[in-house]
Amino acid sequence: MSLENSPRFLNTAERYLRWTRWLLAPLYLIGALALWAAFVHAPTERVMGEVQRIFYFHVGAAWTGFLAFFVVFVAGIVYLVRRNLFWDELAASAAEIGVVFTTIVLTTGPIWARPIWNTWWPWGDPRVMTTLVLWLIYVAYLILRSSLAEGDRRARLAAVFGIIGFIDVPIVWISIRWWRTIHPVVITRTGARLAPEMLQAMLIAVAAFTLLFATLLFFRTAMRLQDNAAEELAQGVRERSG
Amino acid sequence: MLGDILQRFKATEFLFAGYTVIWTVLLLYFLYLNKKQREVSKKLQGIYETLHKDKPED
Amino acid sequence: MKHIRLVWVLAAKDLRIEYRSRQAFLTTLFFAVLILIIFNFAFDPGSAATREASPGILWVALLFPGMIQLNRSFQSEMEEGTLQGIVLSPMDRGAFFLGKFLANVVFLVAIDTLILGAFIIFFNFAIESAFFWVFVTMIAGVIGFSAVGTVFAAMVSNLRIREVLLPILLLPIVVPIILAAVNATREVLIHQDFSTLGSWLQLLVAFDVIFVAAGFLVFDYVVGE
Repeated sequence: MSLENSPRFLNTAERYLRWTRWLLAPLYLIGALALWAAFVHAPTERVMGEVQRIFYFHVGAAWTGFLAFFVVFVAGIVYLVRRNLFWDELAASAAEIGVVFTTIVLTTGPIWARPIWNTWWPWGDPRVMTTLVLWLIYVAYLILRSSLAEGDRRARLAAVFGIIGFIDVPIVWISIRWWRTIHPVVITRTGARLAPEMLQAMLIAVAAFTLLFATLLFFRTAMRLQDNAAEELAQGVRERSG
Repeated sequence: MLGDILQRFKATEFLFAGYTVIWTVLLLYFLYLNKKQREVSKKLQGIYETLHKDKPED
Repeated sequence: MKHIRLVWVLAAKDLRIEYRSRQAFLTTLFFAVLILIIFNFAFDPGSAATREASPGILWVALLFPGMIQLNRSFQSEMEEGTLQGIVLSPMDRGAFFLGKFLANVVFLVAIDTLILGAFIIFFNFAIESAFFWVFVTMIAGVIGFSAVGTVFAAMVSNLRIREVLLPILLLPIVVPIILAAVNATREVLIHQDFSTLGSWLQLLVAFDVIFVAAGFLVFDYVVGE
């Protein structure tokens, strides 16, 4: 019964689950702080009104959405070098969480845009379009993984796609930005001065989302490692009795 | 003036909608995580039971 | 030096196979022309709006047959099972990528030239000097498209859903190509404005360089053990 990964994976999973539990208290605290800061502490924006408060969480989710993709990129590279499936499971977890946060960004965006600019979807806005392309790349990444059998090949191909995707996203942003300077869209982003309380609210929200990302990442990776170990153990049991 | 008040109110509706959307998406993800966690636990449980069955001397 | 020779040999082999049975070439061409025709039915042929949209229509007619061809380029390897664990050194695998990539570029440029001809006819363009730059833009776009496309086609070559999976993987990545190529074409052809052409071409060339290099570097991991 060859147990290559199971013992290590189960150990790491145990450790990550412990970390997750430790992170819960700070998460709730900073989360509550973020809610207070966004809804009470920060003043109402003069031009946009109450709906602007969504902005703090929108930015938080956007930041973590891109951070998650960076994790996918780095974990993919490390996997290709080390060939330790742990990194593949980490990347997959990061991608899953990343697509959740990017979905939040893409759904709160239109809800915010509609009352302010009277449009659901500002075609041509570089940030919006780049986030949309990021979402598409995430989904493609997950679909690719689901089409392949577990193992080294899936990890390799996913890592390659993640790397190419990560290299591509800045190019997408530049190309849309350039496109917009030729054809200015009617909607211009308001370069509104942020009141200090607003800046604080934004930073706290970003911190809260980052903490949420870390917690979810440890938890999901631990789950994946346990699942991986379970598969390996089941295989070993079958071999021994078969 | 009434139009202004209605405008403010409408904007708050959007704020509420956005806020609800965030929690809904996160909740859906938590439910998904829960389902996966239960599957994994069941798998591990099954294996421990199988291993213990194989060792009657314990 | 031996590796450059290897690239040539591989590319020539693939192209010779294509040339012997020209059926695939003609069928793909037919598909592209069909797309152009369908768009003529879908849009109001005479209107200014359709004229504005025509560069986009052209590129749709280039992209989708292009992806069919990318998948086809690995079909013989898929059927013979020779792709996995190619017993070549990593450097040879890089050469393998370049060979496939080159063959795809040549095939696509050839077919796209004809599609461009059909485009001129269906959309009633006069053969003006702007078309030289449209052609240059097209080649620049095809190079980047083939670079990334060859990598992804190799990835999905043994999957049953490769025909739908390749577009899902490839299209988001080549968004910059689509933007640059369509806009450059539109500016010079419809608006007679050459001022932005240089920047768009720069973007395309940068994309090409980056992704030919990236493809060369990562292909080893796609095909190796």
